[in-house]
Amino acid sequence: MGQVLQGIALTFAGPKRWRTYGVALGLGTIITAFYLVMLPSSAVGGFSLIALHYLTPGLALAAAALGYGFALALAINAGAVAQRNRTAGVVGVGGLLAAVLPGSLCCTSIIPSLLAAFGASVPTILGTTGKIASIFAVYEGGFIAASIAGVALSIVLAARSRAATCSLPTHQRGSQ
Amino acid sequence: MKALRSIAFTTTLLFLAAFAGVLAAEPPGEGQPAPAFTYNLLDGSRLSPGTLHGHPYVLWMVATWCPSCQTGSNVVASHITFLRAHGVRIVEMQLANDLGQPGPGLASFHKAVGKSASSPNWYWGELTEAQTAALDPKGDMDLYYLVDAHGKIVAVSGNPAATWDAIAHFATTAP
Repeated sequence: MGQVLQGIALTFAGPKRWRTYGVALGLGTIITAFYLVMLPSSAVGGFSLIALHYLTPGLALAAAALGYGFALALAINAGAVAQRNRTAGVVGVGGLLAAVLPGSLCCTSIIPSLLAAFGASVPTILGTTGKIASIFAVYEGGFIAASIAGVALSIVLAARSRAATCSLPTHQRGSQ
Repeated sequence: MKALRSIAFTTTLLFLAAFAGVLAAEPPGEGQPAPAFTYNLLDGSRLSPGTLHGHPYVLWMVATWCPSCQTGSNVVASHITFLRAHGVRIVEMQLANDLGQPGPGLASFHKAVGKSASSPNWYWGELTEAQTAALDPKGDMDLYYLVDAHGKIVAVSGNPAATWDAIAHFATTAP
């Protein structure tokens, strides 16, 4: 935990810290705005501003956690010039994508269209669409929780990597 | 190279077959008459085409596990008096077998909407497999048809929670 905090502190230290603050805040706000619409969109069957009517405090918090969390992970990773943690990036992006799934795949025409594109017959489409789409409806909360966990993990991985890099002597950093 | 060619050929054939299948399974469109089905209702009665004839109505297909269908039902519930005042009926039908994944069921879905769900201009029932294949061959959830008093489809859309304005416009302008 100490290493994670140290990694975060290192990211926002130094002469370029205001630029880092600005980029993290700006990017975080853009991603959060997207998720403020995306997370409640399963209630209206697709990405639409009308979804904002169905935004709950819990979903708003989740959107902020995803948006600012991912921006933080990115800022930490971007600052770790000597040793960027690729795993952190993959986990963070995976988290962001997982949060998009319920709103885009449940109750939209994407799944039946994909089934049709793969040559499924009408009875197969009518008997299979629900089996797939309902997973995203039933486990929507789980998908969002997993996404937040993914983003949190990417922060931890990036911050630990950043702190570890900075604790190395200068001549060893160059060889990383 | 030969293997690549045969993969490309097979893929093309598959997509053509899928495309042909999708074209063959077109649901009724705007300007066409709505299919004259008799629907099985939740209370055990049947809704015949004669009952609907002469009234504009919204024929709406839902799955009971679908959150946008539940939200849409709540939106319709909040406007059911308005629809009734304009003589518009809602025919909300559960897709056969909930599109392959049984949800909580129509009775539970109906109950969650509250008292408005029992409005006399709101019919609740379940489509047979044949009706589902005819009305919604593409397996879209939350799809609805706006049908005028002459039984003609005026518009096909989806997600009443997101498109309520179109239903309200239909209610005030439908012949």
